[in-house]
Amino acid sequence: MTSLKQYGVDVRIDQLVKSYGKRPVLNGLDVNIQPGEFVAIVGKSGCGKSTLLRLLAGLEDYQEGSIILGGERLKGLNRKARIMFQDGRLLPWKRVLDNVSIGLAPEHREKAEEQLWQVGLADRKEDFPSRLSGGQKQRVALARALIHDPQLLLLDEPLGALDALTRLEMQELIEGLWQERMFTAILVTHDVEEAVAISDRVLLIEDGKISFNQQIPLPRPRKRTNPAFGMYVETILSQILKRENDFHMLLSERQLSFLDSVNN
Amino acid sequence: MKRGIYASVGKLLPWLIPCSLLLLWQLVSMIGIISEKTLPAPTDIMEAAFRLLLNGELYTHMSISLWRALIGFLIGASIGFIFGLLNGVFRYSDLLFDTSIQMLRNIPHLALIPLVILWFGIGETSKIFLVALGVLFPVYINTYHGIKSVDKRLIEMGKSYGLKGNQLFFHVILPGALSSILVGIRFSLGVMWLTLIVAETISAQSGIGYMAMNAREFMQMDVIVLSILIYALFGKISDVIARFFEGKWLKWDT
Repeated sequence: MTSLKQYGVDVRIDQLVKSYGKRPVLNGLDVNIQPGEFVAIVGKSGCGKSTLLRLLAGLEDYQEGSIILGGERLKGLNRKARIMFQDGRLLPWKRVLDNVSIGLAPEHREKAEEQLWQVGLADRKEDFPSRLSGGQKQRVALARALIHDPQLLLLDEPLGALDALTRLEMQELIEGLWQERMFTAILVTHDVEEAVAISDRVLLIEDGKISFNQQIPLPRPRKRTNPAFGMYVETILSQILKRENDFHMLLSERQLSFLDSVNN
Repeated sequence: MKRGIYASVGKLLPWLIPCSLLLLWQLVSMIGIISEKTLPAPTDIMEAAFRLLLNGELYTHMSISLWRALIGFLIGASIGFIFGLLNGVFRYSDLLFDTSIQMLRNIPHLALIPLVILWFGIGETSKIFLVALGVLFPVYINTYHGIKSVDKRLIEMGKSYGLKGNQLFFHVILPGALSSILVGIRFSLGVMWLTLIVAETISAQSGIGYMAMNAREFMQMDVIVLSILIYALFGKISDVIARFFEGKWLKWDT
């Protein structure tokens, strides 16, 4: 592990356009992200939030506009960033420690052990991923991402498939590591509560653009019982639902996904 | 204590039917219900095995058969594996070779025996050629298919974590294709013995198949049945070896 604190990179996205065939997914999206900022991106499924993350990782090309990281225009794979996928994507034929040290020279195995220890899985280093629970797999994926000391951590709904309790634990773990290392983080999620709990700022993507931008100035560690917390959740939810419905009720996530399935 | 009994029952039960059949066979042969000219008794076959073992004939034939099988397998499997890799990984190689290989694959390789005898005579070359040809296609198909069906999301992950070229191949693509490759190898082992049996029976001057054909001339029923049993034994042993490597290399898949 590096003892020096790593500082995040700033991200500037200008007039970004990405379309698949003739259908534009992102249509002139602008956003600036400060170094070390934790930004959450929410939006309906299919709004392009995951696509934006994949563009930031350099996994796909975009048609127009620009992505600038720390003053450099992004070309090809983003070496400053590491992405954490929703489905973990551990290599099933490698033991936990080898999964974490993927892409590293063999002499860095000690670093991998230390990283595993940080996510609380030091005793599972010799296990195959099939022996781990969903939450443990994502811890390994987190260790694998952080071992490269990325200046930008991209989180593509990494907690989407976890149960509520494990999800809370993981949120705390990610928040703690972020506070310690000060990388820039961008989290894509469909869970507004999660977004409010962990980020400095929540962005809403609609029609391929940022349609809403909400700072969350709550002190950390954040308490969900705080009335202000609920206010932010409600404000963002009503923004998401505003277009189609007039009822500004507070909807639970389950109701939201139900609405989603009805709309599709 | 009770659990120990259950465990030994579990181990013994699969052998109950084969052992009873063997006993029954021995019994009907001894009583004379089945004549020695139709099917010799198990003890007669064992006697033949000892006889041939002592005069060294069995060793000669078995080793030549094994050698043919091994060399043919190595040649065929290597060619199939290499083409499977190339065509699975490189698009132009795929475009250039795959169609031709798929066309050749549809020719039953045993149909080539008359041609092969005319080309190579009845020496070693013809048998090794036939075994190699038979083994090539199952290994090719499964290697090719295994590589094509490696999870694209894992490959994307590997690339985004800085793996490329060789590293990507050895850490992600090859291990991902391995279980399919091993299926191909196990299948091809079956083809290997089948091809060898046919080739040795039709045209050979040594080997287990020749031993059986030779015994037919002299009506040595015991030697014929022995040859068949030896082929069965070879087949079983190669399957056990293949399973051993599957267990070793696919340990993670449990």
